[in-house]
Amino acid sequence: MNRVARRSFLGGSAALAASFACPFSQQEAVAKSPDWLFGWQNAASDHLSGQAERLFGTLPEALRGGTLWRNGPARHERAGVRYQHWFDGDGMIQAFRFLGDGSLRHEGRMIATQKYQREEEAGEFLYPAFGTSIEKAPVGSPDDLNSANISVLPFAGELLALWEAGSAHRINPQSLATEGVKTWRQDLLAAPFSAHPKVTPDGWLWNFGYGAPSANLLAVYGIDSQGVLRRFTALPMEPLGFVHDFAVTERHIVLIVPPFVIDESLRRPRTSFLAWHRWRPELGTRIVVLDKNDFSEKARLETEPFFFFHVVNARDSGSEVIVEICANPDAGLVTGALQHVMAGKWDTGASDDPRFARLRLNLNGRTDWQAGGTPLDFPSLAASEVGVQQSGFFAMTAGGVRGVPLYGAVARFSADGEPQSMHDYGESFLPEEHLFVPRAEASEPLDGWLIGTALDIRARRTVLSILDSRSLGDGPVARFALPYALPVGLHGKFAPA
Amino acid sequence: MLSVKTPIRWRRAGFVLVALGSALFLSATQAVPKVAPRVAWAGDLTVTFHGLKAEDGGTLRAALKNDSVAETYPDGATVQAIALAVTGETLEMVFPDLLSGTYAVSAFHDTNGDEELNTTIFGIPTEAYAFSNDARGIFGPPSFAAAAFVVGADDTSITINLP
Ligand SMILES: [Fe+2]
Repeated sequence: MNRVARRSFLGGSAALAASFACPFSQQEAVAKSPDWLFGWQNAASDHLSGQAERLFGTLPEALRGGTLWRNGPARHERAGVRYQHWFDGDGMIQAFRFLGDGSLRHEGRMIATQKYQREEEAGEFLYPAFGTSIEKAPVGSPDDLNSANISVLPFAGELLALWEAGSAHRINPQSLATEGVKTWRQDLLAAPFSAHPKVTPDGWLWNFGYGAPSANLLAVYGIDSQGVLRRFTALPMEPLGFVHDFAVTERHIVLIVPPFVIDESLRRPRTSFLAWHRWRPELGTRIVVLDKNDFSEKARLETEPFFFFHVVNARDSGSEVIVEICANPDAGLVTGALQHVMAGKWDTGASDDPRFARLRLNLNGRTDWQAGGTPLDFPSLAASEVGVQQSGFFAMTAGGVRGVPLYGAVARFSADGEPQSMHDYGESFLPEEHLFVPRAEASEPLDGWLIGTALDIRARRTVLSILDSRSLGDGPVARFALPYALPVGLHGKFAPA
Repeated sequence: MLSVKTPIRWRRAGFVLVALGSALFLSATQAVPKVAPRVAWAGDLTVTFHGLKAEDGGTLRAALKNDSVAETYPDGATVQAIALAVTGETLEMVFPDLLSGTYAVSAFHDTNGDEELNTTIFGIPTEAYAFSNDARGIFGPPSFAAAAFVVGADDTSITINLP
């Protein structure tokens, strides 16, 4: 059994707390190309297929027959032009198929958006990207530049590749071929459909979308378990910029708009969508609470300025709504490190770290904001606890290693965001999002597995690890290695057999 | 061939391309000098449109503007507006008796007859539209300069392809 080099931090709480103290890597400039930069290259081919090598452990029976779907930017360069931001590249749908015999097969295919097809044909980038200005082709609709590169959602018999400023794309789960855009209703052509929809325990799917830059509107969707759009509204919100996630509770939908908004005076030729944004803390963070039953507006509130990518969870609590968030003090992460990583620099400082934060909303107008908890991001919950009080959750967090982008470790957190156990991947891995999958006969909601990919920096290939959620500190129970490296991705979903 | 009072007003707000109805027409045309000193009369402008979807029926509505509204294009005063029924893949329009100068044409296929370029609530056009020089904008309509062409002392002909 070849246990790949790794370190675990369990043991004393002081040691554990210390290891959480400095989430991102050091700030020293990197003179030469770092050894991890191959994680931000193009996928080795447009259609990858390979049998994974089992490095150690056994694929748990309960996971066999399931598929881990993932998505992320995988085409960063064309004709000598390299995108300037991690979020620019075209999406690649990834299927990690857990086969009945305990083996693992991977397949990845570039998502054939209209943008991707036209740029393939032209042999060069034509369209503006999130953080790179390219103006070689007209744009009449957000779907003209839709890169379908953020996440993936198996729902109501369909597999959707998710972006956030335009349509989701329908993917054939067998061939991974792109079948076209998903239009939920005829009048919602190219409407924004974000990458963090929530499936509540009743089987409904909830989502939002931001209309910027074409319209200062927030779209809100309520879709039943059969995939039929039952409720829709578009709420005015001005000014508006990109917003990545939102929250649901048993009774409410909570839209959270950080003061990182488009400034019309910055909308000039040869500037990117991201460059049109300005951090305007004087606006505060604006919040709209909707009634889930009829999408009526229950409250518009304002709280401290903060920036965030991801919501952990939310719940109703008496007359309050409580939202827990991986929150940054400002937008420096998206305008800084997540851009510079494309140039081989990982230069975040402590102020860039998303940290556990709790927002209490009294619908009569009072808000309370407590930020500055443990650094963490890419949260993963038990599906049964979405919108209600969670018993805890999992997320990526800092490990002990410096100099490698993103997060070095995966941890289990208490309901209050306190770290309880973790697995540190160590210096030769760059772990990606880890997803919680419950055991069928679970003794408690967080009893199950964590499934996550990582870039093996030394072996220059992608590995998939399975950890037991009850003993993260013992390290993975099984690990598989692909015959190639995948570009570092964003989000995924596990679909059981 | 007669012009119909259907000017087009495009709002530069992201993808939003909004055409307003005839209510604006009178005030808009009044802003255009009927007789401009030191400007010679030219002939007619013939615009040939291609790529129309005849099966959609409806009307092709076009607006001609000059460089007096270059800064606000495609807002600003309309010199002439024409609407013609779509009956085939091609359609020819004549804007008669123009002063020589620099102009731009915008047009959209009004399939439902409401005299507006329809959009989704997010401002995405749901009817075909085009500009002279086949100019297209990025996150909105093209600039006047991108759609501009010169009408000289004689008759002028241009071609516009609907996408
Ligand atoms: Fe995300």
